[in-house]
Amino acid sequence: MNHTKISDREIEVLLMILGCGQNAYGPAIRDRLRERTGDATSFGALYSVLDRLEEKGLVETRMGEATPERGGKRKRFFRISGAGQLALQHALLKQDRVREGIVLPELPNGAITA
Amino acid sequence: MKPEDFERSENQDANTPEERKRRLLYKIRELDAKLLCCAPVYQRLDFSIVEEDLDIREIEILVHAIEIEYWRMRAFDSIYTRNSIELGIRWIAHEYLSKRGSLIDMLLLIVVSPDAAEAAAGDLIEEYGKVKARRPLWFSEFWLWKEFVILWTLMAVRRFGRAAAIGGALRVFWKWIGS
Repeated sequence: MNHTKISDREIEVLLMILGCGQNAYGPAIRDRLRERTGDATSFGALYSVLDRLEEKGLVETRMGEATPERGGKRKRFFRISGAGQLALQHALLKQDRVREGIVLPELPNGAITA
Repeated sequence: MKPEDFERSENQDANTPEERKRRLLYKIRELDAKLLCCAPVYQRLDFSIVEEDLDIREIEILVHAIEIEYWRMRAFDSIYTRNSIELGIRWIAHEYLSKRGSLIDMLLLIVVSPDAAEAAAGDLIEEYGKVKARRPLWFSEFWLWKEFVILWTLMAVRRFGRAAAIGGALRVFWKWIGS
């Protein structure tokens, strides 16, 4: 069965959307991504990935409520579609298969701080 | 306004707000006519909104937006482009301007859909509030514009392609400096 191919960044963003649950909108996804990966992702980079995922049909969006701290503008919530769940599952299984049976060699002294 | 009237008025004091507005309105009518010739699906602007409800700054932004669409359409004449003109300009002119959007909202509308533009502007404002609460004002302002420029550029590249996006951005920037 053919699955939509997704990049590592797309996998990360899909996982963050899942992690945010019902509250998966721009700043929440970005904060979670920064917390989990340590990367300071810009909104531009995040929206590019989200836009691409939506184009591929892997995420769906709905407009939410407007709040005063957002200047009265509505939130745009993201949700993984059925095709997105399949693609994510396939990509993660593939990563597991690639890693299977491989034991990473011990790092030489001082490599962690280098 | 006829072209000869425009030329006549151009010789008068071109720096008065009234004259500036008149010249911008002429430019919009000219672009509107060009777009109508090039794109059969294009719906003409509602000039009553443009002339009566908008101030000079808003008209300037509208001129930039239409110029980008027109320039892009000339460069990449395709069904996609014609549809985006229909969606982009009609929406900007008929709905958004009547609600008086900010500069950020307006520029976002050039590169993303209306819903995405509203959400992106809201996200930036929300995050800006958080940054402002813990950092100096100058840093917050810098942060906001840095994020906005990155966002706008990446979205423009996605929507128009790299060459068109850079060309369009330079054109807006150049006009901005000149205005």
